[in-house]
Amino acid sequence: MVASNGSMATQSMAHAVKASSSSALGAIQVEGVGKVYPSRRGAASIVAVKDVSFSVAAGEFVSLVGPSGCGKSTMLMAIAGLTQPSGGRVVIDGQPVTAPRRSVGVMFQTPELFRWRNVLENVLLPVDVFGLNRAAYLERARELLRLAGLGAFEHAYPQELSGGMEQRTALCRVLVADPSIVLMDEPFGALDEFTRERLNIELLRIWDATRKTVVFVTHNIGEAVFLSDRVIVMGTQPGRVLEDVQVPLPRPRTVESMRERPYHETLYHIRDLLGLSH
Amino acid sequence: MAADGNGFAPEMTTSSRLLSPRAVDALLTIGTLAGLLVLWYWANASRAVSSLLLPAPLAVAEGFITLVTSSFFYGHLFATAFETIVGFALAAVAGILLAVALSQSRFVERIAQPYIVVFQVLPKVALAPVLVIWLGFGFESKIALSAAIAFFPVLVNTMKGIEGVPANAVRLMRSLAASRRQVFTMLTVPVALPYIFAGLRSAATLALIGAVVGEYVTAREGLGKLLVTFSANAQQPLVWATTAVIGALGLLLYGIMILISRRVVWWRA
Ligand SMILES: Nc1ncnc2c1ncn2[C@@H]1O[C@H](COP(=O)(O)OP(=O)(O)O)[C@@H](O)[C@H]1O
Ligand SMILES: [Mg+2]
Repeated sequence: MVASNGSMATQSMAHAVKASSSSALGAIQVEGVGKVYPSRRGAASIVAVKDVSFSVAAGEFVSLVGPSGCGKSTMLMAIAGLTQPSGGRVVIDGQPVTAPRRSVGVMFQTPELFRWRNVLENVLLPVDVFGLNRAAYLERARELLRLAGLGAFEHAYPQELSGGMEQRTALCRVLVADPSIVLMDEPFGALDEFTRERLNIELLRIWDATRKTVVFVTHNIGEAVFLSDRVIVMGTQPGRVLEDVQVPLPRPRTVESMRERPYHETLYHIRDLLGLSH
Repeated sequence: MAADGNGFAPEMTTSSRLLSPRAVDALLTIGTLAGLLVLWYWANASRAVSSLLLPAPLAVAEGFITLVTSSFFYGHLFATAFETIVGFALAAVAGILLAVALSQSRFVERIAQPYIVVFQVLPKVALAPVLVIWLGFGFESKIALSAAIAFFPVLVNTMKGIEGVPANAVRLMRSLAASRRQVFTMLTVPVALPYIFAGLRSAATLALIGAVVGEYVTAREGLGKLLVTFSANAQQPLVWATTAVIGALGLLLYGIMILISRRVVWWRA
């Protein structure tokens, strides 16, 4: 069902977005970022990440992959301006990041929908926080919900949704005010394998239509390869970049892309980097 | 007997299918109430219980009619209701404001915490004589006692509600560059409201207790004062009728709070 009306919705989406976002925005430079969490009660202070540098071009889809605790979330929070690095800096479109900004949207592992807002109102949360006119964004919010297969659920409340539907709502919410950068911290990590794969395909479709800069954190290597232009592979103790891996898979990608050779070669290359046996 | 037993079970299932669970609950309540009345009537009629300890139902009903048709009753009822409502309102405003103020600073909250615990544990009715000395025999001392008793559930529940705001939701708001004020109005208030209403529900009944106990101690008017007077004159049916009125007032306040709370924090249901 989602696939059948997908391409049509994608096209109209592309029109809506092309009109609204200027294409050059959304470039990220991470320059020698380190993060030390101070010691608590005598324990040694934790070096979460050390000297991490990479850059993401506007409109690029980049994943951060690595074992748990390697500092993926820390890096994402630094880009979001939600945490201040202890060293180095993050620059977005030429400006150093010191605080969260409207042009950068964040999607977390948990949807954090508000129970007292229905689906549509949850999607409109950024519009409310930014003090924008709801009426001006209503059409776009409904368009996104249709695109995410939630067209019939705009009046439902979060309590009535499945986990997958909740994350779709969160996805619409992060996109509604048209940020130039979307940061996603294991957004589908809490979902079952089937739902996760479906949502990944939908995410790619939406990304194809909107071409926002995406930084996607996951510990699922296959997911990272399938989605990304580049995969930044991180190692632990201290968190650092092991390699910046280009994914030579053509776009647009479909489920079939996961059968192709470059997909598997990249996947196994990353597994090797992380010291995982085949 | 066995045939009766067999016939009984299916009948129950049909009747529970015919009536909604709520109707069944209501019937059960009315049924037990009727049973208790019959028991009460029998206890008095058979002199199993002295009418000094428990007057007969009809005597209490008569007392009730005497009470509600008397010229003095409504002044007393109004006095108690007034003290209760003002005490409740003061407790609600003070409790919510103090909780919000404390939540602004972890440091201040840590300083205040032990005092809150001590005052919460302290039996507030023990304050009644002191309040009379401070505020006089009029309604002020009753309002103060009523507010003092009702205050803590509001304070404690509001604090719990504010603490209950999930850190992840705050982080989401911060990622949207929301101001402190926006986080408060768009997130903290809706999260805390169900807790606040739970506090207000207890506060409503406690405010009534505070007013009545205040009137026991010393008062010119009020249902508590009436109780003391009737009791001193051994007018048992009137004592029971007044108690019933106080009980009804408590139920009414509680019911109103439930109705308001269902409207305001509907998403909790
Ligand atoms: N708020 C914090 N206080 C102390 N240590 C933290 C905090 N957040 C993360 N860490 C530590 O920093 C390291 C990296 O964490 P994180 O960025 O969450 O990794 P990942 O997302 O890759 O699992 C971990 O060792 C973690 O324990
Ligand atoms: Mg993480």
